[in-house]
Amino acid sequence: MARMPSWAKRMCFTVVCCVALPTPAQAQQADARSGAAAPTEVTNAEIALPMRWSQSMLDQYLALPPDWPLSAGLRAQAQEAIAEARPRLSATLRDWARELQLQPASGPPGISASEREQDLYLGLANRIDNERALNILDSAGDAHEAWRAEVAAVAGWCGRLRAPPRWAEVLLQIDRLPEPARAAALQHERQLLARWGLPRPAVPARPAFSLDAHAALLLTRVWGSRPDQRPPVAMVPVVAFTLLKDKAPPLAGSSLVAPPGRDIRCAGLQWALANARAESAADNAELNVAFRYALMFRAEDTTRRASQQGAAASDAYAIDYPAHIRRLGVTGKVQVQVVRDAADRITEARVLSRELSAPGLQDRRPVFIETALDEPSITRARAMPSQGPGARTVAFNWKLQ
Amino acid sequence: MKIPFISRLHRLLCAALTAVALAAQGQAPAAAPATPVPLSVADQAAQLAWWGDLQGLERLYLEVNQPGRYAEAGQVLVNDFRHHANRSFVAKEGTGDTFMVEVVALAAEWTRLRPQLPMVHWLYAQTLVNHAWEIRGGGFANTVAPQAWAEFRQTLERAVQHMARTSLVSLQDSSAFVPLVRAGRGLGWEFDRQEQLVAAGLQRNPDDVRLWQELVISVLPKWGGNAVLVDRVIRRAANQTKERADEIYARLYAVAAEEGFGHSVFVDSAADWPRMRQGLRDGLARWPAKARFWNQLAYFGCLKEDRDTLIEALEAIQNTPDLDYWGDNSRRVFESCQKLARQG
Repeated sequence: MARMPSWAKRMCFTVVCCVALPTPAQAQQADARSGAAAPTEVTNAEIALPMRWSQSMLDQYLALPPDWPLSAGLRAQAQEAIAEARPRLSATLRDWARELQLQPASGPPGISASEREQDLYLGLANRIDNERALNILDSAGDAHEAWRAEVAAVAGWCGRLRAPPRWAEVLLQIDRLPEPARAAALQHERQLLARWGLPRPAVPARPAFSLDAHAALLLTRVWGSRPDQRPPVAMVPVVAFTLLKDKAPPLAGSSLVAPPGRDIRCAGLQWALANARAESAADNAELNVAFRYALMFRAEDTTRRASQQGAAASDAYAIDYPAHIRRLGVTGKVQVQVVRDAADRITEARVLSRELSAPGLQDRRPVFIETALDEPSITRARAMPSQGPGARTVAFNWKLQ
Repeated sequence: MKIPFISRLHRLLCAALTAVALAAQGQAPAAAPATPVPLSVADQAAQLAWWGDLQGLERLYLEVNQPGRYAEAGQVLVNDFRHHANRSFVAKEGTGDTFMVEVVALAAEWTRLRPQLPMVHWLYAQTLVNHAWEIRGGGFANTVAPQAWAEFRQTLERAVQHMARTSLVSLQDSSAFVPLVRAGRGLGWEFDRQEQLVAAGLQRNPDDVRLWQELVISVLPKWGGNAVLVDRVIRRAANQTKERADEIYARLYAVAAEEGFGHSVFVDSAADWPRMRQGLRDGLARWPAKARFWNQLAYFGCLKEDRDTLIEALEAIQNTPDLDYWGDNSRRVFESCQKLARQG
């Protein structure tokens, strides 16, 4: 069978396998495709367009919105930091564009020039988004961790967060610190910015504790009728409204349903963090890292709603393999454990391991896409026929064909 | 390496399509930044409360709770703060009791976090009053279930007890007396007792007209009062605010109309239109938010069939009303008034 176009993906599980034939238009396109070998050298003209395009992504990342309520001193220092970092980050983009252009094509032979080009854009976008995520996870040391922990659960700074995140988000947190502490805090963030595109050995490993899962547990307690089981820290109005409006208690073992935006998600995570701290649900250092992992920019935060709408209109597979995740070219393995009680009810469903990849992220830790297929894998595992009480592990191999 | 024209065109199209696809994911290039417009106190308070920003609320409250600080329509600025911060702590459609339980718990947490800040005590008491009314419902007494009555009263009592327990701090500001009068009204306290609370609040801040408004509501017929009592309270309030006497008179009768007498304010109450009209004109001359006063001149002028005033005010608002000032069934009322203005 001829290779299907990269934008018309289908999925295949190792456990449940669904194979779809290409549409006539796709087949025609595939037949007409000619092989295109990887180039051996790259000129500036060849990467001019992708460079211009990725530079605009970078500009957006580094922009400091004029309406953000930052103290004047911090704003001025931040502008200086951005101006200092910009040339190096732009140079990094150029290096990436060259490297990705020269990279041998992934997938079977016969890849077309236009597919190579799409992979180049996708690779650049994925790398930029991955760096956004790494920058949130990375650490400049103990003093950095200390002030981050201090402001993490302070309500109020989440309201300006959007997807994709800007670097300046962190300034909203720094502004919550006492004035004398701000310059040192900004210095920590400048250090992280200087690591953009470089190896980041200080990025902590993903903790076992998940704030998303903890938030879901807390929600079941909010919905429960026993006042003595109420979480010790109350929700702020925006979180209470979003999570309680027209909703039923969440399923046991499910994760926090993603609210509409990063701003509200952030406020919900703050609520979960404050409660986890109050009840010593995990070690404080682990909680702080868990907060950053939950808050960082993730592939699944990109266009959830758009893909859900698209799923209804396009094909049934999109329900399993979300369109926005397919569009990012995310593939790989996810292992899920489902636990059933004596009454055959699911009491827990969690991801045990992931091994995912996407264009542009093959040779680095892909934190941006790491959990992209968690939810679809858990949903699929939950829907599988029961094999009786106890724990069962299922592996899914998500492929784009 | 030379790139053929077709190939370049192809690349251009490809780049444009990819950019469109990624723009749909929220990754569009940054647009030119607009010049930021400073937020009003009302908008700031609403936003800070919605996001639970206690630090920001504290800063804003301390800034606006100062003598001589007024909003554009002439109400004391701290009232704007209270009104808009409180909006996040009232029941929301579709959330049931669970939402109110959360926000009551949040306000209680804040009283523990900042026990020395009068604002948090005001907010906690006010949120309990909001919760009590959510439990009771807004209907007539005969529509309330017996169990709801008990819970309603208990919740109001909690608000009063909290203020009593924390009185050294909480009663420092006039704000504290607003939820107290509201609680007292729900608990059926004697009018004299409510009047004493208002007097105590006005000692803290004589400009806090909201307290007079609460007292006017307490003596409306639906709360067991009558037109004579309403008039007595409004005249006393006007006398105590000498340089703004007629304006306060007009403001309070507008509240009496909105909360009780409705379109019959000149039939069922002792409202004196010439004095009200003068008060609204004073407000117009004194405060920058003109639309409010022109709308009220048009509305009350219409109710009193004062065509000259009505025509002048309708011209001023260019026949585009702010329906918030036109009472129940506002669109229909406005159209009737337009007809009256057109009659020769």
